[in-house]
Amino acid sequence: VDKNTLVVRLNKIAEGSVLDVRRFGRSDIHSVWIDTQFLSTLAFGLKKDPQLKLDWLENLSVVELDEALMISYFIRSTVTQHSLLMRALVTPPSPDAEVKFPSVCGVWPMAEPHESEASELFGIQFEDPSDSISRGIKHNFLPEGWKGFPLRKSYKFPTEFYGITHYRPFNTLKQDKKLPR
Amino acid sequence: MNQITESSDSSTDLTTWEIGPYHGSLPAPMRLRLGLDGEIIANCKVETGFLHRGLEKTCELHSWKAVITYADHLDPEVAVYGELVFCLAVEELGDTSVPPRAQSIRLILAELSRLSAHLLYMVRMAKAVGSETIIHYLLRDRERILDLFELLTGARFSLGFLRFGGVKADVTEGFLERVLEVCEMIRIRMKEYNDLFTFNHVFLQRSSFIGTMPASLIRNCGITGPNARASGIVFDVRKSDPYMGYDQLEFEIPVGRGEGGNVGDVHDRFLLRLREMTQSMEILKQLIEKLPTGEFLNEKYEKGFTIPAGEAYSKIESSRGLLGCHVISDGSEFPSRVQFRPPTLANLMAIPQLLQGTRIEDLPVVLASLDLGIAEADR
Repeated sequence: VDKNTLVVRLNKIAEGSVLDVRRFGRSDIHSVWIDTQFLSTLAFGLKKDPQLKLDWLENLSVVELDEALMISYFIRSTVTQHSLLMRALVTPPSPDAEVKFPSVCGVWPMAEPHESEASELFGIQFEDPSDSISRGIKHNFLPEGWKGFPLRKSYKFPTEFYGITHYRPFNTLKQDKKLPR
Repeated sequence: MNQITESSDSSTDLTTWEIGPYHGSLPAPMRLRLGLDGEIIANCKVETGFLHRGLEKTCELHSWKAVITYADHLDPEVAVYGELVFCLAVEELGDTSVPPRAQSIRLILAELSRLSAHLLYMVRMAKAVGSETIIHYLLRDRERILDLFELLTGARFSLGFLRFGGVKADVTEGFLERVLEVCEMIRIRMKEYNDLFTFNHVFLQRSSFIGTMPASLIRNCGITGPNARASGIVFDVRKSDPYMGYDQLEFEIPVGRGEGGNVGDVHDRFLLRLREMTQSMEILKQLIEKLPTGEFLNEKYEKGFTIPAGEAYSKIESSRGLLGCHVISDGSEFPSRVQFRPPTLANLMAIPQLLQGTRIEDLPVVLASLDLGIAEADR
């Protein structure tokens, strides 16, 4: 599907939802930046679209860019073999605060473990209005009482936890940028 | 974290059992909260994260080259897949070419790892059904593969052998001949495994008609790899998105046939891996016959290079399914983000549904049949 056709189809599903369409890295896959408020509508529409049939969420990746969290959905069709990267941004109110974001579990159930991970490590609370998240799997990546969201760029490593002192020399290495090549 | 959740099912009195995180019936550290109706599992919840090492965060704190070693620790059982998927993503990001000889050496390692992983899978299955003899035979044969890793890389685990643009060293003297020898040995031993174990009536009784994964469950959870193929879903990254020259090789993708019981039951998943081993040996023979001459490393990238700002996503077929890696670079000496998509996450998600209606004595067998790599899921 070429770029123009894709934009037309996406706008047909949700008018004004597409903010930008770029090429993903060096690949031929389109990276579509969308308005977060249309995420659920677009996800449902892309799965049901007779030409695209994007029925499989292959991967969900989150990264912090300039204080905003970028959520990337690597979507693929098991029928037509089309691939698409859908992206949305959300900005937490403060570096340490949690932020709410719509869940796509109702459309792609396989998103559940990925969202559960991102929830714990990035502080994104995924909300599903249809309440279709089964919660059959729970991650306990962080110990009880652990503060902060480790995969955010603003995260500061604790110097002690329950009286145990932590020493992390690589923090200073990265700041100095003096590693030999 | 330690609070036991009572069953929400008020129609029957369910007994709540909590197993794990460390227990003999579990293939890896995880916690299961089971609601039991007599001997039948009525509901199940899974808790993971006990092996979380902060791997993705650690990758952001180390130089690009050092991350290869950490990617190697993604799943210690099959170290080369983590390295390979990360190197492929970085090479795409840096538009790096890999010499054909290096590609073949990488594939030899990948297929040897698949053989090793499937042998270990059989060990876990044998342990789950209590068959001690076959465990020793299988581990004996797996040692021969670890010997090959040692001969090529100097290490038996955590190989650390891949580099951006190739591999660390060329094949050592006698390595290729010994790979063929080991393949021939495993081919002969397969009959032994089958006589002793695969078609042993005790194993058939313990593994047939249980833990059946319907195709709908596979699709809902996004399961890939041998578990999906055993349920009749023909998907293999080596065929759908070939990498490192897989498109030049002739091999088949085995699919579950339900010979021992149902399509997609425990026995089908076991048999499928045996068939995959046969295909891996075919691939290894072709790779060795056609091993190109020339460089094993793109020197340009060994002598100091920068990774340009940008991003890439690579995926490979590991022994457990689709392993993906999303890499983002801001142009500095450190990765901005390294995210792995391990196949085990999807398998874990299927457990609550899969175990519903299963008898408690079948629990270790069903779990072992899923080939869970908790290390890669927890990262």
